[in-house]
Amino acid sequence: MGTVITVTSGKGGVGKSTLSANISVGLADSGKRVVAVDFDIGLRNLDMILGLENRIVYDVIDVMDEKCKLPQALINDKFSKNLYFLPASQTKDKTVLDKDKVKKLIDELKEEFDFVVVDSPAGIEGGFEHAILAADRAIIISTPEVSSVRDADRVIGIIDAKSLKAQAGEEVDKHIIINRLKPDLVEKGDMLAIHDVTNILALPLIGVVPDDERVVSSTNTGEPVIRKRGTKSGEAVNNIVRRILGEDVPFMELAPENKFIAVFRRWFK
Amino acid sequence: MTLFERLFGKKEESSANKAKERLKLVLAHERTETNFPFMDDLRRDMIEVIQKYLKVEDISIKTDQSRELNIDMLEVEVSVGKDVKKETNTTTNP
Repeated sequence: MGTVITVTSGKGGVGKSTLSANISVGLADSGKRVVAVDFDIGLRNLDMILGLENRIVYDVIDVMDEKCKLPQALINDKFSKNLYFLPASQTKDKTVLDKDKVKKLIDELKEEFDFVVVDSPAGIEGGFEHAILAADRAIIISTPEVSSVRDADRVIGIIDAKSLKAQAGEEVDKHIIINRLKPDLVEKGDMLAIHDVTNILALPLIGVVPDDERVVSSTNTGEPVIRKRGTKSGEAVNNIVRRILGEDVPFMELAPENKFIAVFRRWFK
Repeated sequence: MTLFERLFGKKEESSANKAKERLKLVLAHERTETNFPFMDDLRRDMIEVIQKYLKVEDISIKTDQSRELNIDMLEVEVSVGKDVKKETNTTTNP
């Protein structure tokens, strides 16, 4: 049985889809069978970040409505045999989803894959509820900004209420990723530091991704940054992947102007 | 871009240009699916007609392409009555 990881956040635009894509790629490149599911119904985006937008025939709603079989909708990644992608629907609105269908779909995916990475929509409305429903673990993304941290706190508060695992008396594993940290701003005292965010949210940290221009360019081209050697952000995501896999990886030194950070450990081929 | 250029950060074709091309392609495709200029008028007229018989809470019209039959479809979803509204409200509450 696979593990369902829901990547979520309170505020939109903090990098959920980008991190979902990169984590999925990282897990697949470490030899796990992975499916990335875009649950942001109506606002499909994960396809472009993975560079698979031109291959979509069926989507997640088609599968749930049984308009097609699951394998017909799954899109294989260009570079990895281990990575598959299930796109969000663009035309249907999120109210068409129902919990039983979501559960059935996720269960089916869990049979096939080691990891089911669910890219959740932002916020706490209907779509979020479905994305978190079958989660074994949740990764909450926040940038070190007040609105993002505040909204993350709201989301954390309702994850347990909405997930089946918590309803069955177990706990959903919850971790935080701090995204787009600017070490020089932190140093100047103009940005919340890592420990500020984790203290406020009171959850364990699974990674810190520094602000990196290469993330923008890799989204432009549809090649996830984790596959680009020598990028700080790629290294950070790679560390997150290894922590998900249970390794004890020390956190990167994120001091400003430290050129040694750029030295990249080649953990994948 | 060759691997060599990628490793050394040298970019002949800028990634922004690539982004522009990809977006144009995707949006062109998506817009044809929803490119019905009369949609707002149709929606208004339908509400008017249905409201003669029922209290309309919400009406949504969506276009879809039936992939098997290769035809365009219009999907109309009408919410009526109080219970429908109440139910959608409760799902948005935390």
